[in-house]
Amino acid sequence: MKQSFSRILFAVLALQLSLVAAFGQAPATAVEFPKVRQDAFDKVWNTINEKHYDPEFGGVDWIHVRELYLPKAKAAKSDQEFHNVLRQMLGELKLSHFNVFPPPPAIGTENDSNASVGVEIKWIGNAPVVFRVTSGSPADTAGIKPGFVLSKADGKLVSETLKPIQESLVKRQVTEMMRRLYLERNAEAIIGGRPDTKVELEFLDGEDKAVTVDLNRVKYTGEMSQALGNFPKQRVIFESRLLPENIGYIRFNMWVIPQAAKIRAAIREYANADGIIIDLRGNPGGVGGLAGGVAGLLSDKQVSLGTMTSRAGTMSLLGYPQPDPFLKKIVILTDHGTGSTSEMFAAGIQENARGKVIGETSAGAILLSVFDPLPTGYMFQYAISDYKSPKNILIEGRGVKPDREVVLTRESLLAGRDIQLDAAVAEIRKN
Amino acid sequence: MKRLFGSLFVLTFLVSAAVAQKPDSSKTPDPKPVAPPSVKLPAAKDVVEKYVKAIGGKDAYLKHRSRVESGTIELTPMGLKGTYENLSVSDNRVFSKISIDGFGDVLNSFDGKLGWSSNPAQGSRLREGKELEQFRHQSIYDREVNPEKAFTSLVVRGVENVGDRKTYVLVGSTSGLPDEIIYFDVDSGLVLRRDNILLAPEGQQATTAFYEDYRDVGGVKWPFKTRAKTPAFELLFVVSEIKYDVPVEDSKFKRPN
Repeated sequence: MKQSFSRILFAVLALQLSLVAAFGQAPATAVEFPKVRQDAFDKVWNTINEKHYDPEFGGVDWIHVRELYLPKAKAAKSDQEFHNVLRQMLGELKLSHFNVFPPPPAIGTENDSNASVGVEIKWIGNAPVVFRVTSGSPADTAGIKPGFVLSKADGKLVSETLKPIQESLVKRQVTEMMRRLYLERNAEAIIGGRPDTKVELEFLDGEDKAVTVDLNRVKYTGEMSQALGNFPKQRVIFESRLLPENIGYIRFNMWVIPQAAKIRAAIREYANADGIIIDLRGNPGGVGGLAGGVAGLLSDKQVSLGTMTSRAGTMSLLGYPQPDPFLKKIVILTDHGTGSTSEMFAAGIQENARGKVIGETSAGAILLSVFDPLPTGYMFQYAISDYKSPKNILIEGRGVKPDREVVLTRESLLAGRDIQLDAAVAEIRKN
Repeated sequence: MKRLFGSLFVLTFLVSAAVAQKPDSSKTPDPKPVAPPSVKLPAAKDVVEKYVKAIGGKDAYLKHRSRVESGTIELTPMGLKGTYENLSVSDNRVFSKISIDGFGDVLNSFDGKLGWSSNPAQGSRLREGKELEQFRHQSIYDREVNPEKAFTSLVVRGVENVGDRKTYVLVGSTSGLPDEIIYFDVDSGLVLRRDNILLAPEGQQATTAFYEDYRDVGGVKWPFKTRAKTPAFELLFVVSEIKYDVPVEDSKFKRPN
């Protein structure tokens, strides 16, 4: 994934965090409060007040939150400041899936400013480490390898650039999974930018020697999903291959509609394989119903992937058995970037004893949400129900615990190995 | 139209990972307390007779052997839009296709015995148990003019306003299925609102549908605008065309693989 909407989502979140202190000191001087901002503020506050799945707001005094943030919203000197106030207000809930995003085409479109040099970053230890390098990308051509540490961007130490975010994350007491997720997304945001612009990057190679490269940012030209109502277009990145051990391997960046046919075709293609590995590392989720659809391809009976409870009641997420399901071994790969629908799928497969989860604890960011435009043109995301796994475990803030924990290391990446994938292969080969 | 609600409310859940309704109740929740009428309530059959007459009469309704309704839908707050086609045949077969932009086609069918649904997220599945039974009831072609085929009992419960219109509130009951509450305009006789609980394996979903903009098509009046609501979502159906006695292809009712 790492590109497009979800990356920007986290970048915006981090921006919000980095601005907390400044807005904590927002001047109280009276300025004109445009009606459109008043309406947007009211819509956000009222929507949470009326539709938050928890009428107690998790113990947050929502009335007091309004009193606290309305003066700050009125004092905002720009649209950006105003929307940061809204994000801070939503941040008081300390939950995922509550946010405000800039309007398109700034994010999630073909014309966005999220061109990439072709590296995917993971926060390993306390450093941004290259996890994958896109074949043929500027980074690949320049010799950047998995396991390299990103140290500088345009002459600035990445650690310094990320310091305010680090501090904000500590202050907000986010989980370790979310801390790593924010940091790696922001590291990627630092090196991303508009298409056909350059960025000078310094990496530390396997011997910790500095390698400086001047890389061109390349626009994404691959497949995009259609917008699904207010849910913006997303990049559609899909990979599947038969591993030498006669195991199918499927990886996709996000649960969006075009992936359904690709996943279905891949599972059918691997009908004679000894097992299938579904790699959900870094997959932040997407359209919830797809998880049930894929589960239905892997079971000969109806399976519940869990329940969602809103103020109005509870609903199950089901997978209906599809013709000729794949019934051999399944392994799901997860890490701290595995979020939302991906967590629902992983928990469902795990708790129905249909397969094993290997890797790291998932993000713990799963609430069921909708996107609703604000009068300002920004998009407002809010959760309307929680999610509990089939065994009634609340996954938000906890994550899906792997059956076998395998932590990614820089050393293994430098050695050209993916030890989490290796463990998944071993699990399927095991008698 | 009611048949479309269930699949769409499940759809809202699928595409947004959304919300369910009243999971533990098998009875439609009571509407607001109905004020004691100041006049004697009419018999249910009189209310129904007035309704049948208001929409054009039983003969006008039954002279057509099939009907296909097409139009547009919108789902808020997710901003989903699309089109729909809803085919009803006099032998109680039904088929609907709802095409959601960015999602694909949601299909529902009942061939008189078997019911199935299909969508791009979940694939296809057979309807079973009470869900199938409710779908069968909703597929009865002439239930509007012969309500005794759909309900074992239909009683007038009181008078209540729907907007600024005074309505008779009737409760339709069928053994084993949730009650259906229907609001008939006292003056015009037309149905202005229905409350129902839709049954689906994912959960039970309480819906309230409001009917507006009745127009005459081939001697029968149909609401050209329907708003269906739950606490979290709202669906808007706008009819663009209704055609009668259309050719019916048997292949439509076969479950896709």
